[in-house]
Amino acid sequence: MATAPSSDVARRAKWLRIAGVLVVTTSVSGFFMGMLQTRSQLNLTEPQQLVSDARDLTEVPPGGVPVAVAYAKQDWLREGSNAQWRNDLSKLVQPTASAVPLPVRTADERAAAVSQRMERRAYDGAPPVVPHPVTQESSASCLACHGPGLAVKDRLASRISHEHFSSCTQCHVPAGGTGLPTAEQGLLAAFGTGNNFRGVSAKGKSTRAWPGAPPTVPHPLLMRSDCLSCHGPVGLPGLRTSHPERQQCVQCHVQSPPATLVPLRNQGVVGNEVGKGAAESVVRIDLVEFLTPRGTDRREGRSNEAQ
Amino acid sequence: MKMNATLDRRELLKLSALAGAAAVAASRAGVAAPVAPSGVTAANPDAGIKWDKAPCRFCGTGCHVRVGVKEDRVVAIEGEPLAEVNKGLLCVKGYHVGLALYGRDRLTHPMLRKNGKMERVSWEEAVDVVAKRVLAAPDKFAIYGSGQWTIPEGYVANKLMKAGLSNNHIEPNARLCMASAVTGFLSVYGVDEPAGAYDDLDHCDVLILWGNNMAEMHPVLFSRVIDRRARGGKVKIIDLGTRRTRSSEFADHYLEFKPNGDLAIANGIAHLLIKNGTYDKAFVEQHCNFRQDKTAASLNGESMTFEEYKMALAPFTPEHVAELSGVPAEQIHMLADLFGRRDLHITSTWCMGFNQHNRATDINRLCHSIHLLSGHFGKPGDAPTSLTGQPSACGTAREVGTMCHFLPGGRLVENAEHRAEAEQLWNVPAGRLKPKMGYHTVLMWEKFCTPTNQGGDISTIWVQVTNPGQSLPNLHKLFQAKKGLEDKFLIVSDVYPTATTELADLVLPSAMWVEKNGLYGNSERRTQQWFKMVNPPGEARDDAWQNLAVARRLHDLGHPGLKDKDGKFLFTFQDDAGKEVPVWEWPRYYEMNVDKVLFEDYRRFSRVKHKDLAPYDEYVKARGLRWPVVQQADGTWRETRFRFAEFDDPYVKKGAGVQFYHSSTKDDRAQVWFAPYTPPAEVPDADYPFWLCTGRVLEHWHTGTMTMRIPQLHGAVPYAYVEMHAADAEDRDIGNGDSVLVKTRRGELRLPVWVNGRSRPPRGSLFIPFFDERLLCNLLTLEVTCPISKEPDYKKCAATVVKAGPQAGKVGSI
Repeated sequence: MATAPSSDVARRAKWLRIAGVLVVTTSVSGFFMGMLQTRSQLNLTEPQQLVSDARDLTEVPPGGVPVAVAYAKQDWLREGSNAQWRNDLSKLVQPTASAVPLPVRTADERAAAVSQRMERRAYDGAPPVVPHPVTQESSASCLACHGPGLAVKDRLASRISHEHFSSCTQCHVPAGGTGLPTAEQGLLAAFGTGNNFRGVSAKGKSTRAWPGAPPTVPHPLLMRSDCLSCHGPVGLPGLRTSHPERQQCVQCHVQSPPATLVPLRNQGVVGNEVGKGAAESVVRIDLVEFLTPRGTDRREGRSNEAQ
Repeated sequence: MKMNATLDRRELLKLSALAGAAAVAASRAGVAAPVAPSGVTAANPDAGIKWDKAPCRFCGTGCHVRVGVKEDRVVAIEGEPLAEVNKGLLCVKGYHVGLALYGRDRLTHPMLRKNGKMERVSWEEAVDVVAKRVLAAPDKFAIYGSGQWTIPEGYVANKLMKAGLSNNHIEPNARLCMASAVTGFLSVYGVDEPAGAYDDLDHCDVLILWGNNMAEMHPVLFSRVIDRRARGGKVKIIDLGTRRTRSSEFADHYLEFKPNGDLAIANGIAHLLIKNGTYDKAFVEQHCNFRQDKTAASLNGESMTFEEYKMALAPFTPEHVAELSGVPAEQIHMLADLFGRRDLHITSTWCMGFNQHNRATDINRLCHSIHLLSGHFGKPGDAPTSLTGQPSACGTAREVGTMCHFLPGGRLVENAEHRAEAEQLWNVPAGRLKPKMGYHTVLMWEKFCTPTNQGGDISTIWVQVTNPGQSLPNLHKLFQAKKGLEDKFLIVSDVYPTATTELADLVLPSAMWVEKNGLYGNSERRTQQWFKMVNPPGEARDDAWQNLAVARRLHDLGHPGLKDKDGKFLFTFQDDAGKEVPVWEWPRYYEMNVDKVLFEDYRRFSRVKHKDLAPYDEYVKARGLRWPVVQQADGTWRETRFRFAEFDDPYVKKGAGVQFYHSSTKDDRAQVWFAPYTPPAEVPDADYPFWLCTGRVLEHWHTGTMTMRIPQLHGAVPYAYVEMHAADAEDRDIGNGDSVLVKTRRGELRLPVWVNGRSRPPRGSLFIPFFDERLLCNLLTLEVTCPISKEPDYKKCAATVVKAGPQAGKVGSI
């Protein structure tokens, strides 16, 4: 008899132990299962949209809830007084072609445009220097503004006029140096005694056959496959077209003098063809395949969009 | 019409007023404003501009430009759309090449050092001084020219020295630049210069840049590839480098290797091609032999069997290569897998990374060898191609042979048969040409800077079209040591004051680029011609004339070498009517086309190595032609794009497919080389813990004597700097723009630091561009050369950096 209660106690204690183990096992595994459930809800087999920047959270996926961003991914720069600052250039990009007629330009605006062009070039036809500091190691950042073109109040970033050339800094260099500071006064001095090159100035005005006739194009089209780069809404006011809704510029505006026919003293043909053709007195430069196809595609693409 | 004209005038007045204001504003802002030419009055300022073609003055790419000339001045430049090289595109240097003529400090009259001061002298006196220096010690006279010599200029100098003075001490600066590519080509193919052409860049699926920052150094060629990609073309760019550059930014893969790791990587690729059986067995069996330098380094080495070759490569497992080069094993596999594929076209390019290397000939050989081993050769897009840095390194230095061991047309001074041929073509008596090689560049300058009584047996050097006072390595020893050596005499022909003219005893003002007629030969065997378009300033005169005038003076003073076998002057010129013209009299120099006569004379040398050149007039019509240019049955001239390949090269036997018809083993086969890995000549240690690399930037060309005087280019990169890794800078408490002293065992230099600048060297590595004559990085560099090519290694030596206080002394070192 003495053993019965003790065995009861022992049985109860054993049950309690089993129950305890079960409770601990369930809670521990439940804890981890719960975590697993969270991960499975995230559906890791599907590609996840990476939240790289807190501002992405403002975009709620369709039919979903906003995803929490990891602390590591929080944009710490957005603390403090500049927290609201956004480098969101895409939101600033202007429409590429406006259907609304632009205000008629004035002679003052045109003169300002011509003088700005002269300031930034060694001669008419030279690639303009860059009037602001640039990122030194890559040219991808140039296209953030100059790809689509950008107008913020009176500041303009002209649209690239030769899109398929992607090494921008090959031709366009900053006028203000590398941005590398130095205390060495000797290095800041001019080199040599200057240069007295005098380049050909801006091209002249176009001509009209009669008052009201479409003006001719007074400059070469080499490297200028996109007329709207200068003459569109993100061009300088003095150069803008009054009718950006018309896409096919060369339908009405032709070159004058015919700049595609550049006379050269040493005309002739190239490469394997040498000696096979009679030398012409003028050479058609618009026949060179390298410079045209992309521009043509782009123009077609744009007019399709307009339709 | 009348009303329009009135409006035009009024607007023009307004425009010119505004332009004036803009110029003032711009100059205040530090931006160089172009000044409107005074002659522009009409609505069409194009009127009166004459356009003509010329190759660009700067690099070895050989772009053609259109030069706009008005009132005897260059006023505009355009890319030449008719040129196959650049198809209308240029780089920023090319667009501003016309400005190179108009630095205000052009040299305009001869100057002679008298009692320590430079004084103006007449050309008559100057020519006399040169001739008398030569006559006083003909064997101690040397000419140091360049890959910027036009072909006729180099030809005159070469003929004057070798056939006139029986003196082989003539060298071009190309020794510092392309000599290793030459020895690479010679030891692999038996003949110099690339088999491929720029067309390969249009056809390749993979472009491998071997230590080659093409985006900055050959930007137009690089654009040819990336523009193709931008328009939908498929091409993978692999950048192998020792620092991140603008080229890396465009590359699909960037593989960073330790200095000399390139030797290991090339061997690793060959190892895997053999191990995986992915090498091109048929190509190798048909077209290749195997070679190595068993004992000493030599041009042609010793032959080895395929089994021996395999054995030699056995240690170069990807893991071992990873250890030596720092490039992970899987990336070695990636490269080997690409080379192992027959369905891809692979083009390799390199320039100074390979050529300025203490094992330069070997790394050139290895790169050719992996292309041969894998059969990536002889088809459009499959080519190992070296690029050149100067506009006529190929055309003049290599083809005319203005080197101490060459004769024109790929002949050697040590080869009796070659000498006999040259003596016959030059109509000089047998034995006139000396069989002993002259001094190569480093040795020539070392002898010049050594006192005569200590064995310095070069007493006079005439420098033409180059700037050794800035571009030689270890300048203290090889150039500045000339100071104070009273019996040494330095003659410099140049267009601007330079680091070289600083020490000159006689300065001769030269005409440059379109101020004279010329011909250049670019990297892809393309010979290009241009005409004089404007007059040179002051009394500046053509370099070819300077050589001819000195030759004539030597003749008149009785030097027997200036007469040919028949007792006639070595250089005779007849106009179209057959009348002799004394072109050494300057007013009569342009009475006829001297270039044409010299070129036609030189052209006779070009056949022996099948580097056939067309008549001068064919080049007048074309935008350059790539040799061999072979006359067709109908009388026309046809250029060759792909050498040794039957489909394009007329000298390949029908049915051969590929034929190496100048094989050094005389069996029409190319040599696949084995060369082991060895470390660089000087490696960082506790005292000098950094690697120091030197090189160029896009905006400046070589020593910057032209580009630093162009406001747009100077404005973009106004001074040199040292690039270093941010962590290294932080360790030394150095901030961006801080002044530091960079020291090596040879010298020290004070200059600003650029952290996270244009390029990113890895930890423990520095980079200094060499364009700035106020900051001479060659005071630091090592004069160790490749044992075969004798080209110095400017790319790696050991250095240290210490922060310099603001008052630590003046910037630079001179």
